[in-house]
Amino acid sequence: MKKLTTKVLKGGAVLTSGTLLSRILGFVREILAAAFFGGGRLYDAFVIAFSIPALFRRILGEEMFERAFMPPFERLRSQGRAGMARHLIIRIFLILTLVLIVLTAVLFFFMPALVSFLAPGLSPETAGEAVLLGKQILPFLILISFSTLTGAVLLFSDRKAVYSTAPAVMNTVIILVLLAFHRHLGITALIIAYLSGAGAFFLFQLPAFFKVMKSLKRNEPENGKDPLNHSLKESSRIFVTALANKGVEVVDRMVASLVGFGAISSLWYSFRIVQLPFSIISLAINRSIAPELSRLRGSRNYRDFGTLIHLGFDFNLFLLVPVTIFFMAFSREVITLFYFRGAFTLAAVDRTSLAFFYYALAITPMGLIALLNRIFAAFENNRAPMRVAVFGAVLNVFLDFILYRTPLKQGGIALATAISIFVQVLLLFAALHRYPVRLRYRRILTTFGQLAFALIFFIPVLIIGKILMPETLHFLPLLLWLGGIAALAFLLYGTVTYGFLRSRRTEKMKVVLTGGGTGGHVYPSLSIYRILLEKNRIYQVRYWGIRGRAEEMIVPRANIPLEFVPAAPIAGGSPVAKLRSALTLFRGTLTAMGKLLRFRPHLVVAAGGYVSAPVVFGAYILKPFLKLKIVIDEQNMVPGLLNKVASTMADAVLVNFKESTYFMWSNRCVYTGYPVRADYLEPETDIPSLRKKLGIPQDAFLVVVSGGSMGARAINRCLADAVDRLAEQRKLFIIHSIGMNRTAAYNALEDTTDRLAASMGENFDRKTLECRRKDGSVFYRGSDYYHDLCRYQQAADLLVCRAGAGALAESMALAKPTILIPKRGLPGDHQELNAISIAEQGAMEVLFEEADPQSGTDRIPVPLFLERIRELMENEARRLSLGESAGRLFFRHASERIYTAIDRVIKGNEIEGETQIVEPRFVRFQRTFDNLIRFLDHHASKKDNLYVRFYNIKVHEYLASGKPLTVNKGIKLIGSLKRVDLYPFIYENFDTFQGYQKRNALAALAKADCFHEPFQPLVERGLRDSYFETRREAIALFNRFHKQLREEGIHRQILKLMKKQMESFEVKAEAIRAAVRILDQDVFLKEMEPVLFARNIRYREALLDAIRDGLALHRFENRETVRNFLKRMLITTSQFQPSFTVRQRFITTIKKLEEDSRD
Amino acid sequence: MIKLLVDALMGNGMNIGVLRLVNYLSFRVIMGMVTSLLFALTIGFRFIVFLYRKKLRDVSGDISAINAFGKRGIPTAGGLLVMLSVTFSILLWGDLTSRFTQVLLAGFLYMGLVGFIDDFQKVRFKSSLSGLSQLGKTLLLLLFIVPFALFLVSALNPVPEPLRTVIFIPFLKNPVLNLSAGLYIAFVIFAVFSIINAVNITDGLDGLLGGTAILTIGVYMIFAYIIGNAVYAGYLLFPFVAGTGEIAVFGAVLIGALFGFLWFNTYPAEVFLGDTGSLAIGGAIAMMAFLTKQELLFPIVGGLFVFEIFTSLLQQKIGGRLGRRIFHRAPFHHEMTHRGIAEPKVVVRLIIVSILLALIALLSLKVR
Repeated sequence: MKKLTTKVLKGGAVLTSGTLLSRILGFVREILAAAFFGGGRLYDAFVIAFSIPALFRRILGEEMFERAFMPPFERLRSQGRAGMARHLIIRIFLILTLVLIVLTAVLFFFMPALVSFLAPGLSPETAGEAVLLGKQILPFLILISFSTLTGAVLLFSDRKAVYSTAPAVMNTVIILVLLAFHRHLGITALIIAYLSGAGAFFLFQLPAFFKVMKSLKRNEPENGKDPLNHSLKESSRIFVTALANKGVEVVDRMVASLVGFGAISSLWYSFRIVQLPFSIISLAINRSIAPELSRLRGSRNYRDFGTLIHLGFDFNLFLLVPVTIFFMAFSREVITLFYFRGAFTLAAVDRTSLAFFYYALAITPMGLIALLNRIFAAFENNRAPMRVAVFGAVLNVFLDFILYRTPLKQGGIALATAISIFVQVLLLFAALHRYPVRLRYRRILTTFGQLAFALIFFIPVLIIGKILMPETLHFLPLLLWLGGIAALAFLLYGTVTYGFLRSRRTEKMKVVLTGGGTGGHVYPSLSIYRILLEKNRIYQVRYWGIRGRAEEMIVPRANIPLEFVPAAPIAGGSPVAKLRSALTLFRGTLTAMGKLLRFRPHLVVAAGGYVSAPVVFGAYILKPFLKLKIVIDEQNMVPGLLNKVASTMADAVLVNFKESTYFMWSNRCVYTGYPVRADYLEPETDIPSLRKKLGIPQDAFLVVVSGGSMGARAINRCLADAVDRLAEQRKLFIIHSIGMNRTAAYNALEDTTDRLAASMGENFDRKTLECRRKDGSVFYRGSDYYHDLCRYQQAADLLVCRAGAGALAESMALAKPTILIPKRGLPGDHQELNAISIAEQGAMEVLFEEADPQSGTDRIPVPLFLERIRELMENEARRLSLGESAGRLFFRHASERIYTAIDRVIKGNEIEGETQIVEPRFVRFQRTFDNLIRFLDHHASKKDNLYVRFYNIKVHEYLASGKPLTVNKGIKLIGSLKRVDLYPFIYENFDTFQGYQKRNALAALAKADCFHEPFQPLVERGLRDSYFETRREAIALFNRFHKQLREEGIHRQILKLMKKQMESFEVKAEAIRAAVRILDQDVFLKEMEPVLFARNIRYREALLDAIRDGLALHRFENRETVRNFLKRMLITTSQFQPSFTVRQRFITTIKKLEEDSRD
Repeated sequence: MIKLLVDALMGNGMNIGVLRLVNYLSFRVIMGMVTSLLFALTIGFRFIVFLYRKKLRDVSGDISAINAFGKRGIPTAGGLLVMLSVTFSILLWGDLTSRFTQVLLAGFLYMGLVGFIDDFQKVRFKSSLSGLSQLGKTLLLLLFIVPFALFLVSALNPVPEPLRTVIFIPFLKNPVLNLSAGLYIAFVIFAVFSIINAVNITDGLDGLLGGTAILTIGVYMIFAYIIGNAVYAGYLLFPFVAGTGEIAVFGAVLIGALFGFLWFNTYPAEVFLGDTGSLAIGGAIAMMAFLTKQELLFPIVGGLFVFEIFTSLLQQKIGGRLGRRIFHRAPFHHEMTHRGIAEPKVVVRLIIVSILLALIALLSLKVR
């Protein structure tokens, strides 16, 4: 496809440059004519006279020779039958000569009749002039006819250069003669100019023509069907078509002569401008497409044929529509600019711009007609175009006669032309159905959509330009304004359309990998690279990372060229630091754009880490121009901010956790799983020999502890502190990957060795990093980095690791029992909660870090750690089940999924994003803390529930925070987890609490299993509190423990609140519920009398609650009285619970489905 | 666009009687309203489905989060529908060369865009708490409000010079204050920002903002029509400002679009306005108030909005600092539902209050 495009474009370029020159010169010719002879009577006469040879030139040149005689010529030539081709040309030459002799004679003698036919409205003297001029110009007809024949031969013999420069030569001669003689000879100068121009035209082509004829001279037997007969038959149709097309111009002129003075020349001049872009752009494209079309049709390659048609269609539309709009918007200005000088008056400007405005409408359809005619010509069937053209001509004439009477005048005639051409386009499109050309309507729609989009950048510029443009008639300011507006508008438009018109598609790609900072981002992008490499889809590759980070060590080992892009993380830090990193990000984006423009990749793979952000931004900006695709790989369950932003720009987001789709802003998330390194995918079967190789005792219980490539402080310290007690475990063997962190804050190796030495004393060897038991056997071996950690893990019985994405996926891939130690204090506690969600499925053990009360650093409680290890050592069944579930959870098809997704993206297919967005439970808990509280209320008794375990640790942190809202959370947790040991916190601080905290404290206590003595003063204080919600909760607490609470004025206070005028209805409603516990039946009913008709519905609801409570508590002796009492109650109300039937049914259906799936 | 086209055609000789209709303001006002209404009705359902499929749903969770009573999972950002209808209709019927139309449309669409960013973030985070931060939203809004304020005092404003910085008080004939440009700018920024937020906060019940905003915009539309008509303005003793008729066209188009939206948004809602709609509408109301020079009419005609934001601010700012609630629920419409009044009833009652306020505001046309 690419070749086809280039070929057409190259041919077009040669033609265009030639045509451009000649058309511009022709246009200069018109401008000069306008200046010398004006737009009045005299020029009207010339236009009429000249229209006859012009008509023949167009019919013969652009239509008949190129479309009827040349396709067979081309076919003969390409079949190698040069002699036949030459013969054909000679015969055409003879026929043409014959026709011309007859025609000239007829025209000469019948000129007056012809003129009066062509221009019935002309005044007698003008008509006389026209007859004279018409006779004088007849030699031009002969010369130009021969020249067009030679021209057509040259065009089809790949001598496009000569062919396209010849008209330029003609126009130059005409202009020179005009300039020389117009003063002396008047209108006769015009005749002389044209005649000499045509002569030059013919002579210029002659040498090249003879050369072609000579090259065709070859002896060969003449056989086969004579193509000329067929061509002649065709040519008659083409003649009619062309006559209908071009003849319309003549008819237009006939009608225009009825409109009045100057109308003919106004149509003529305006049509010249309209033709300028049409001929330059459209003819060039359509002409260069024509031979290609014939070739493809000959080889019956209809697929490329269709593509080529689309291409022509697109080019015509994209190039001509904006020109149309521009001309219509600036019709008057354009006319003034080109013609307003010399003999061309302001009135002539008015007349001409009116016609021009409507003629501009015809530009695009004209281009399309030219294209369509050539398609039909390629099928060597010219019947449909002929019929359509005749129909169009009739329509045009009909409309002419209707519209010229309207105020539009000559504008109406132009409008008629535009309408009829447009109708012809539609008809021809319809006629195209009969041919084996399958047009893709989606593609046409896309073209229109893209065109509309591009015009958004075009039209506003015109409107603004039009509004701002000053009124002026002077050439220079007008030229500058128009030129400026046009340049700006077309520049914008062109920038946008350039991307649309470029298309490329290859199997092998240039790929940019990016992402980094830590190995956790580098390894996945390398995995994706390997997946693509395996499928042989990589042509070239680059890795763009940050200087001085993990990628600088890892990437060169994979033999990938590494380059650097400036980047910085946005989150955290002071506003100044944020600003600085934003600037770095901006710089990085520019750098990335520069690199992208140089490398021109097809695909950008970003694997997270902040370096990927500038690259993705840059790629996104350049996307329309480079046609690249962006794929993001997100390993973490909760992506960072930059990744979320970047995800909106990606064509696909590959996620490791289904839950990630929930956080991503993109709708194009594809669940692929984590692309673990290949080592992890092959389970090692021969563990004994592996252990032998690694130097680990066969019968040992091997624990591999690793905190990631950088190392984890809490894990290292915990292990170092526990190591002396672990020594007591016989059979235990520990491999410890300490990590390479060497920052000032934490130097992993140094810190760990110090601590190991402290706890093991002499039994620790600093050189080999080994610990020995008292009996001398080695049970601990450490290293700052194991290159073959995977081997150790394969040989292990138990793994201890962080809950990061990579570590998780790796231990799941190995299907080993694992203790996860999630990192504490990450945003939203996500690593902890993430670990919980996996542990919930029975696949991992979790050990939570906690804050050290003194220093505040993270730590792992050593006893707990020891206990977990011991437990798992002893319980083999548990180990097996953990390993098995972990293996089950691992998603093994990551590489296939990733490849399919990338392949789809590259092919431009839509990505089917994950539709089912799973809301992680921890998100629900974080979104509304009360969700968590409700959950914990139900599960508080289950001490081994992971959430209960986690929040039992967390509650201390909340209470210690000092921020009212966080303390508030802690208070809620106290109640929910029933932490009786923390109740004193409430007792002691109650008076210092804020309103919310008091309320929640009382609510928390109400959840207690049994009454505690300190509740008594709290209820009393709560009832007297100034905050209504505290009072409400105090009454609620009373309701919960009313039997245990001593009276001591509480009852009186509650009843007082119930009757108080200015009390919140919430408190009063709660008090009503309390009243049934306080009062006897009779008093209660008496007090409740007004509540029966209370205006606020909440009171009545409370009363009903109270009565139900009373029944449960056996407070009523006589149920009948209560029943009669209640009968009087007002139960009309506006409160109601709407329910959506469709949702109700949806839920029952889903429930049913879920039940069935469980069976 | 139609006006531009007709002008172009007439300029080129196509002087047809029917086309002259377009030059009548009342014709364009009504056609604009009808067009935006019909446009909204035509594409409404399809648009809702589109939003639903694009997962622009209100705080949507997984299937288990759906219940038969709640409103979870209903498409939000329905303000896009309003924006689309308004844009379509105003492009057809508005005079695009009028500075009023340009400013109104630009502001309206920009505010909508800000709201959409907010909505989009909420939807992506699946939480009503996680939209744009307060600061971010404020900054984004100021990005339009400040240029708008500068525009009001600059020579670009079609309102004649002596009127630009004066302030009228309803029920009084003559302007009471003539502020300096700096003060006036500060006033505009404060007032526009407050109005937008007030309107934004009122969007909480099905059909509430739609219903009340129609009345407010209607009042301003009438004012704009009168001020832009030399005869009526003279009769009612308003300063005549040429071209404010275009504000009336915009108002009419917006009303039409809101009616079209209300068709779907009324209780029980099929689609929510979202911040997209409420910010855009708020912006439009604020701009109309200032362009018609009826800034101080807003506390009357938009009294409901003012009251709503008042309760909300009191609860949030003062209550939050004290650590306790001041109202049971805020803003006020939530207090009403909390007291047990059903949602549709609350909406109708508040609309009735709005009608009352609108009538009082219209009284100031004559009682001056």
